[in-house]
Amino acid sequence: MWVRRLTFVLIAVIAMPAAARIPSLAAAAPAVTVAQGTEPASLDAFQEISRSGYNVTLHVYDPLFMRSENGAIVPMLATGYKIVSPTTWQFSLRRGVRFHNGEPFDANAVKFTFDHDLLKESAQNYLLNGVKEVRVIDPYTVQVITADPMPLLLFNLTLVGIMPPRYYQAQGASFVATHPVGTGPYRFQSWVKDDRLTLTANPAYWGGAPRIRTLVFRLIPDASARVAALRTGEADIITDFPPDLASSVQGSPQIQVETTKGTRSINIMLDTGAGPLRDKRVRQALNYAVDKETIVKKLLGGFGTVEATLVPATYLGVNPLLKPYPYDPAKAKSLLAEAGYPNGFSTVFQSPRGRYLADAEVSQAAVGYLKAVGVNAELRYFEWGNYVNMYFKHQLGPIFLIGSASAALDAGDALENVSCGVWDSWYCNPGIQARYLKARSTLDPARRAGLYREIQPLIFDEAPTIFMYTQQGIYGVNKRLDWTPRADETLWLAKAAVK
Amino acid sequence: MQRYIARRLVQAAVVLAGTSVLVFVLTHVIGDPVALLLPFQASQEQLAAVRHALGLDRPLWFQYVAFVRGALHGDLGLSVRQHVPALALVLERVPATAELALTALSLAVGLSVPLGILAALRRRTFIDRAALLFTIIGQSMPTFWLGLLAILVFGVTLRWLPTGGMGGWAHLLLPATVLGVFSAAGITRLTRASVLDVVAEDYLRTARSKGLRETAVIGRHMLRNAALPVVTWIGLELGTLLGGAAVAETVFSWPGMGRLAVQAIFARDFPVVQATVLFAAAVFVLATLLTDLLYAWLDPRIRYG
Repeated sequence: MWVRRLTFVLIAVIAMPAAARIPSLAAAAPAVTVAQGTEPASLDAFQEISRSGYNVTLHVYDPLFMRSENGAIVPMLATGYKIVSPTTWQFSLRRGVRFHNGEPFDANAVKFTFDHDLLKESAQNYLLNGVKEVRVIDPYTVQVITADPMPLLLFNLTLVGIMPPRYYQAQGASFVATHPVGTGPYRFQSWVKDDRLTLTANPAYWGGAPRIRTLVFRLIPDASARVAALRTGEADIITDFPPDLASSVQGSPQIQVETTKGTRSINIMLDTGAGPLRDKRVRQALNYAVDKETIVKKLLGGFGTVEATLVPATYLGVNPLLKPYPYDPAKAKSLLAEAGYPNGFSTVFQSPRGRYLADAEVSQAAVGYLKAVGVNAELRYFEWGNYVNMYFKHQLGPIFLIGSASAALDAGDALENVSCGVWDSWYCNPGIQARYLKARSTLDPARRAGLYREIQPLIFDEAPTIFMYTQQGIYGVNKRLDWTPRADETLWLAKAAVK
Repeated sequence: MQRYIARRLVQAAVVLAGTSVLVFVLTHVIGDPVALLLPFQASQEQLAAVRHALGLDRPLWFQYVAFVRGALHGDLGLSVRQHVPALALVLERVPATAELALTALSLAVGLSVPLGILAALRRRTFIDRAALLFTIIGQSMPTFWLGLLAILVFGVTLRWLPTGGMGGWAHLLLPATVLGVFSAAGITRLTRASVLDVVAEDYLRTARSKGLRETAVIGRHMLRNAALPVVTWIGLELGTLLGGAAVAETVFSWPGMGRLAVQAIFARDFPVVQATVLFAAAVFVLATLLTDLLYAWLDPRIRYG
């Protein structure tokens, strides 16, 4: 009797999952769902700086300018600009635009946003910290006065969403952080933290009502689980698609993997201040020693582009004529011998684990290549939180792997890592520095790009780092969507549609 | 009994105080959140300014005293990343974790207690061997792997259940089952061993010889005695479940406390890490206390003085 009853309970418990069969989960979803690995910490545009956060906030708040699909600057809440003097920019503003709560958009909103203490105190302050004053000329004209010429101002403005002054002042920062109001193509609807965030189309959007009515941003931290959600139709777009799973969806009638050239450059930094790495020949040898093409092909599944210097091909000012150091271990050995290290030397190689695409494996491979030419590097891994602290404290080295991305997609940002007098550089060459500073303060983009192009052969020859590759942006996309990823890796769905 | 409870409450306070020191020191020696908050373009001056604004440039003991003073008033500080009270963030996620952990525990107990009893009563039969196989697999499979496997089978291939997120009971079933499997395996083994321990006891023979029905012998005499170690184990299992929840919540995108803790650790969001750990410690201490009291109720031989 007892045994029979217990058996019954057991069967009931085991049978529960089978009873849970539910018909087509995806068919009922009228919305487009984006799954990302992290979610915004805040929806207050003053506070949020993460890429996954921008992907949400840029649908709610419009900036003055934005990048087009191919990276060009296009007007948004500004309709145009004029450089009055090297330190004075004048912007004309779009008329007849209202925030989602009905508050009118005008010059005061721009001044309120750019002048706000919270923006200045936040991690975004680097975007506008060269701005001295914001002057309202008339309701639809503002002037931005900078302390020094600020060539990257326009690019930086693409990341600053314009906030509604009255709403912000009446509701306070902590309320706005969870109830954002902007002028953007989508209005905020709801946010279940750590789960999903829902936006609905703004029918009165100045740029035309979006075709997708509801946007859901889901947080799925595990990459394999994101792919699973894409395969079941629970997600339509997933970010950071793991390259090792790309083959699993190949030939799928429903899913495709889309890529952009990418903006994050991964390099192996060399502390050129001491030891063998002071010698240019040694640094060149290390560049010849590492087979970057094979690393990208085998470890990144081909989702990367080998670069000649630290400047990714997507940046303004890249020199397309330079070709990457070829893989040539024999040349590496002879250069080492020439520099007085015929038997190589011993050093330390540090690497994060889990921060960048296959970072631990890439470092391991690089250490193997170095060993093959006699450079014995002891590989030390660190969790990202520790690593970034060591980076900021200048405790990494002599050899370490790091990624960097320029929000402005400007060669100047990439070259900062090999410039003089800044804390995040391990190299200094006064001759190159003078040219670098001249380029950095040149307002005209074409002239600036030209100056950067001239610098890159010098940097290439000096080899202050082991130049590696640019990591591609990889997305998994449901084929029912009409959407293409953008060069700057902003996920922008205002113009997307369901086929 | 009241004196016993009072003594246990004082002990609980000591445990919590110890935990607070430990978690405070541990979080502060693994680096600070400022480097993670600012982009690489930030200058050293900007870093110093943010560090100062967060009070992280003060001596550690000073920060700890300020933390304890706040904690005594229910203020565990502001989240460095989200700029809202840390305790509120934790409390917001308690219902989700409670739902997951309690469902997992119910599934585990519902599966493993009958399985353990059956295995003991039908020793060396097919069911006993099946139970043994289940315990070995259940205890040796890591939760994250089992979770991904479950997503692949029940979510992607069979399309029976959603792959993650929070919604109705369908969303709950996979994560709760995966989380419960490890506990279930342990409880099955223990139940089986406990039943085997008492199965040959004299009092059972006496009960049977008095003419009691087998149902009463098993229910009233055997299971009640065999239940003692199992009840203790289940109480302690809550700790395992809270720990396992961090993994299950990450794999299944379940918006609970465990995932909040994981995110906070990676972001070095000290106040949130402290609030989560202290809250979990308090729950655990309370659960052990309740287990001990239940134990006394089950076993009349145990009386606390």
